[in-house]
Amino acid sequence: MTAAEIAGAVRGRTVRARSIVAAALARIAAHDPELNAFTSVFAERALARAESIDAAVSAGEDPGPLAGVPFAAKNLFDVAGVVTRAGAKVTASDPPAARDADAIAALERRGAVLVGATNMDEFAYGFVTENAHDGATHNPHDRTRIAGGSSGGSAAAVAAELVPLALASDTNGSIRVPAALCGIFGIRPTYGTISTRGAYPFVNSLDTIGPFARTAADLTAAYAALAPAGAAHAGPLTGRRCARLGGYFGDGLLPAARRAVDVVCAALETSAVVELAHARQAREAAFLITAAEAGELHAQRLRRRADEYDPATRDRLIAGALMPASWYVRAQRFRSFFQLEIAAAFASYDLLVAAATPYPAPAIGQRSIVIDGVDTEIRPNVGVFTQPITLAGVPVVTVPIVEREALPVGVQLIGRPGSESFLLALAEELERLGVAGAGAVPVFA
Amino acid sequence: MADDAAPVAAYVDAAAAALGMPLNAERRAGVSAAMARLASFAADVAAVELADDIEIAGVFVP
Repeated sequence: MTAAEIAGAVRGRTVRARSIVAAALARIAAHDPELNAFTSVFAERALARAESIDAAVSAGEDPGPLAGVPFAAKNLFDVAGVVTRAGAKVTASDPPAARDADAIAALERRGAVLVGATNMDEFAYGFVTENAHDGATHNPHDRTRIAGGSSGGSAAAVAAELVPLALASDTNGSIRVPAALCGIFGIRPTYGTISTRGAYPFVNSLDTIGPFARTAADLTAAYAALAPAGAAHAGPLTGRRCARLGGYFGDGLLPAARRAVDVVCAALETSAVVELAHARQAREAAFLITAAEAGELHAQRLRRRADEYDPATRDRLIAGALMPASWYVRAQRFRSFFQLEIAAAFASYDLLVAAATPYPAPAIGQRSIVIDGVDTEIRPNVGVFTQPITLAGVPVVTVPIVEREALPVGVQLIGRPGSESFLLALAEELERLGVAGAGAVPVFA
Repeated sequence: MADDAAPVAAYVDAAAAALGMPLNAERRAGVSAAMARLASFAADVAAVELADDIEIAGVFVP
């Protein structure tokens, strides 16, 4: 069931929230061992919360537009009484969180029910969710492949229909990459729109919070619950001047990713192409800012406890902690420059379209992939199309494109700051047209 | 290649010593590789000419 169907049934008294949540818990117990999407399940809390929703409905109260909708949260979100892992071992001895993260509280205020926490790359520093401590999350479309990262557990849980919604974070592409590889919808909101309080920090200059869903309507409902009052209902923009991003975004991708952009642009009836002249440097600046801010955040712990870090994360964090300040400052100044460059593109177009990843999900453990005859390292490059957009802080909705009997890929719908409602409406339109949509996952064994 | 990597490795050694960041041999190699990537990216970003009045966003508002 979609989130909309669940909420409608719970509010309409045709089903009890408790039975919805119990069924979600049963699905997780039965199928998550094949996926490794969850690192914790909060059965007692979830059932108690569901019963309180049922009690409210019985008393004639409206529990909200997400009544009884089970959701998962990446394990970097604070959950009251639980230690916030952020995919790490070094955090295991931290004190439990005193209260829920703002994003969890916002969804629960509208009737949703947190059922568990999900796997991720350590401290969100990766695109693969092959976590040294918690193992790899398996892609529901092909269990031998990665789910993408860093929010891979949340994406896999939604793609496999264990829950209809999940919370995630996106710094350099950690919502857009796993949404694409798992074939679901995801939104990275305008930087600064949604409270990050209670989400373990990674890169303060770039961190955002957003949801995953299997339908565009569910994504819109989840975003509306998370966004400040008015932000999600600012009204759709008039006109629709669309262009695909060329140049940097037109090179270095496999045919499946290119076809996905073609399909979306055809549906939007655009053949316009626009280039961001400094997209490559934008990606590099985001990379530098990430290294410096994340490295500084962890420097003290790394001096004493580096052995407890995931080897895939540790050396990059140390390099960031040691890098010269001039590189960081230059990257931040470049960010202001690039902000003007993307604003110039939005003077002519309302929507920019680009592939979310250069290829469908690689195999778990795969180190490189050949693109245009060049052997390309996977881990640092999965986010090559999401990172430049990150730097500009603009909102992006990733829509899934699933070809018959093929692995899913995703397309980024990129808008002006604050244009989330426009992007979400476009995602709904593309879904209605049959262009975008979450594909069915292979039946569980 | 070795010549390109040498200054970065020397920088990593010096910075780690100055900042009190312990590095064993394996970690030194991994950190040097990561620093080399950062150095390459930093050079590319630095090559973009920026007017002096392009400043860091104090409060970033996209």
